[in-house]
Order: sequence, then structure tokens, then C-alpha cells
Amino acid sequence: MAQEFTFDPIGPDGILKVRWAAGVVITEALARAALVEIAALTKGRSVPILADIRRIKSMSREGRDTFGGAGAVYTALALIASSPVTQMIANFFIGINRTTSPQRMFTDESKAIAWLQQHPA
Amino acid sequence: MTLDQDRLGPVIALITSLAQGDLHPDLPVIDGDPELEAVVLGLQMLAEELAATRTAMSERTTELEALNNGLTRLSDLGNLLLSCDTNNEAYVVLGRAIRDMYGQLSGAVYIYGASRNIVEVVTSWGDEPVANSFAPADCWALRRGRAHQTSASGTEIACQHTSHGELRSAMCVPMLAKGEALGVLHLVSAPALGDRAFSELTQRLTVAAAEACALALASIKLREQLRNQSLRDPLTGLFNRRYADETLLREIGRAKRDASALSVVMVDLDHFKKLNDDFGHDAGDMALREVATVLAENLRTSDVVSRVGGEEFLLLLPGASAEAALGKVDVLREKIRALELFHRGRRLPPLMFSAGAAAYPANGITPDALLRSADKALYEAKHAGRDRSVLASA
Repeated sequence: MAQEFTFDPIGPDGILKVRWAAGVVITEALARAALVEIAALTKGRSVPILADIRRIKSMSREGRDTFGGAGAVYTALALIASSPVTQMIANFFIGINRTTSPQRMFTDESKAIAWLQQHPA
Repeated sequence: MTLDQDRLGPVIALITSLAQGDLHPDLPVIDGDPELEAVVLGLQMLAEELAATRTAMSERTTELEALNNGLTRLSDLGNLLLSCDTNNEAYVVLGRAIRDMYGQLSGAVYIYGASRNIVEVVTSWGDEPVANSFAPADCWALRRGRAHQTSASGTEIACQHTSHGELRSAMCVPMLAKGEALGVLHLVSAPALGDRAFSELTQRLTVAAAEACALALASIKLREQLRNQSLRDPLTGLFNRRYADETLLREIGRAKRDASALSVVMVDLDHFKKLNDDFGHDAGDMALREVATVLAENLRTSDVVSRVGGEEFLLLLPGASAEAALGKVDVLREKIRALELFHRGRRLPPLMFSAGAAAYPANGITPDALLRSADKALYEAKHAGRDRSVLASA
């Protein structure tokens, strides 16, 4: 399951970057597995998260639901999308899930990082 | 057909399916057209959300219907309980109502015994075994004063009285009224139901049912206390004149209907005024209580003993002939004479009484006539030197 997503080492900016692999369908099981690993990496603290979903195929409703209920995990969430499909997924996720933590879609990773830095851990 | 129609045809078909209520349509396969692929994916996600919302609403509707049903039954239960005159009636009503409300669950109502060191089952229902009695400490609900639930998965601590080996979901709700626990309402599911036995709704309704029952039991208890106070003599705890009059009328009716015997005996302590004068009213009161105890303990439960005047008692003896009544009175006389009473270190003189007996129908067929005959016989016993019994002349 670890191949479906990977984490960049957390740098000085404190941002946790999750990279989803090409062609992945984010299911509930994958979402849960990712949240478990995020919790382990952050030791349960809320951190800014960058989720790179540029190459995924889709995200199931249960997967969206699982991530949607995990608002406490992040101080802010930036979804990096590129294609019309991944932009649709990102916008849909943001539109459906009402969390208190801010979440935005970006096509440019550097802009996403700049925005996330405004929401430190 | 134009190029746009070719391109959008599958999307239009998809939207049409969705519009017709099919929220799980076959999705068109679109290759090499990222924008259209995104549109289809968006529609798919919208359909999924709609389906989820529809399911949630359906479940909510079912839940609300169940809630409405439960509240109606609860309201009916409350009304029925308020109409109950005795605890036993209330237990039966509660048992039936809970069985109707939760058909798949077994259960029992337990009430504290007089000593309050045990709770005993007063009504039970269903196929699952329940304990007949247990110590209050064996129930977490009684220990904590609030509902306690255990699931079949066994993650919570089970009450000891529910330990039947096989894991079941169970719930105990204390029946509290005015801060006092009267007992506990216990529900248990069949093992096959697993953790689904107790929905949140079931839990809320069970707590409400237990509250309604507790209030009804407290109300019945209060009414019984008031009734007792109105029918009992506060000094001796015996019935009073009012109760004796009501009972005599009823017993005469029964004797007439069954052609059975009935005797009444007026008992009057001899020299009671002198006892009061010599030893004080405290001593007189003590003597009256002791006599009352002897009378109550040495007659049948079907007999009625009342204090009808200062030192005057009336015995109603259903089924007893005049001769049998006199025989009983002789036994009472010996037991009362044998009492050894002390007051402030002084021994009271032996207690004696005079008695007048009358029998239905020979000495009267109405309460007044029968009591007049007994009174007359009592007067004769006093006049003949006291410490004796006289049977009324026919």
C-alpha cells in the first residue's frame, strides 16, 4: 500500500507533502492508511499539508468522506491538481467538505507552499 | 449529427439518467477528452453525493418514524402507568409495553427488596435468561445511578447479573424517583443481534420508560401511604374504625353470597383508665401497642383487627362461627394475660379484657345490627365482672 503514496521529508517550512502515485484511485482504505502514516509522522499534531493529486485517477466517495472527516489533522490543506479531472476532484472535495481548517486547490506547487506557510503548525 | 453532438451525447445521456433518478448509471468511457472526462467525473461525484444523501435521509426518516412510534408508545405507557393502582399492575403494564416496544429484546424489571440489599425480579419477558434476583452491587447502573450498556463485542464491563457466558448486548437503567433508586429496568438481546441491539433511539426510549415507571411507582407508593394513613390507627398500626366499617359491610355481603359464617367481637381492655392513672399515658400507650401486636399476630390474615376506640378493638372473623370466635378470643385472652410489661422499671399489672361476640346472621344482618349485638354482649361481660367473653343472644 505504501507505493500508492509517499511523503517528502518535512523541511524547515514544516509542511508535510504527500505525493499520490499515478493512476491511483483513492479509496477509503488508502485514505485511512495515509491518515495513519500522517499521524505517525506528525505525532498527532496539526500541520500544513500539501497533497499532490496531479496523477491520481479518481477518489471514491468513501475516500473523500474519510479525508473530509480529518480536518483536525492539518492547519491548512493545499491540493495540487493539474488536469481537468484532478482539478474537478480537488474542487469537489473542497466544496463538499466543510472543515474549519482552510483548504485550497493550486496548480502551482510553489504558490501552494507560499500559502501553506501562512498556516504554520 | 454535429461534432459537438457526437462529443456531448454520452454526457447528455448520463445527465438524463441522473434526472430520471438513476444515481448509479453506467458511466460513459471517454478517452482523449480531458475536459469531458472531468465533467463526467464531476457528475459521477454529484450522483454519489446525492445517493448518499438519499440513503441518509431514508435512514433518518426510518429513525424518525421509529422515534414517533416509540414516543406514542411511551405516552401510552405513561397514561397506563398513571392509571395503575398497585405496584403489581404497574409491573405488568411496563413488562408488556417494553415487550411491544422492543420485540427482539428480552428483559426484566427488578425492584429493591425491603432490606434494600437485594433486587428481585417482578416481571420478565422474552427468551433470554435473566436472573431472578441479585445484589445491587452486581449492577453497574444501580451502583452509578445511571444507564449502563454493554455490547456483544464485550468492550465494556458487564454487570455481574448479566454474565451468562455467551456475549450479548445488554442495558440496565436505574428507575429513579425523587433521587431514590426503586429498582432497575434490564434489557438483553439475543447473541445473534450483536451490537445492533441498542440503537441510540432504543437507549433514549428505554431511559424514558424507566423514568415513567419510576414516577408511577413513586406515585403508587405515595397513594398507598396516604391510603394507609387514612385507614390505620397511628398508635398501634391496626386498621381504624373507618376501615372496619367498610370491611364489615363487604364481609356481610360475602357471607350472604357464600352462605358462610361471620363473627364480630368487640374487645375492651379492663381497668384501662386505672392503668393510665397509675402508670401514666405512656404506659397505657405501650399496653395498647402490645395488645395490638398479640391480636394481629394470633389471628388469620383473613381476619381484620381494628382499634375502634381508646382501649376498644373490633375483630372481624370471616368464616368463623360464634363458638369458633369465642375459642379464638380465649386464646387471645391467655396470651394477653401472659404479657409481662414494664414501664420505667415498674411492672404493669396483667392485662385483661372483656369481649362481646355476635354472629351473622343470627345476631344481625346489617353492620349496625351486628355491632349493636356485639356491644350489648360486651356490656354484659363487663357487667358480669369483666375478664370474660359473652356471646350475644339471638
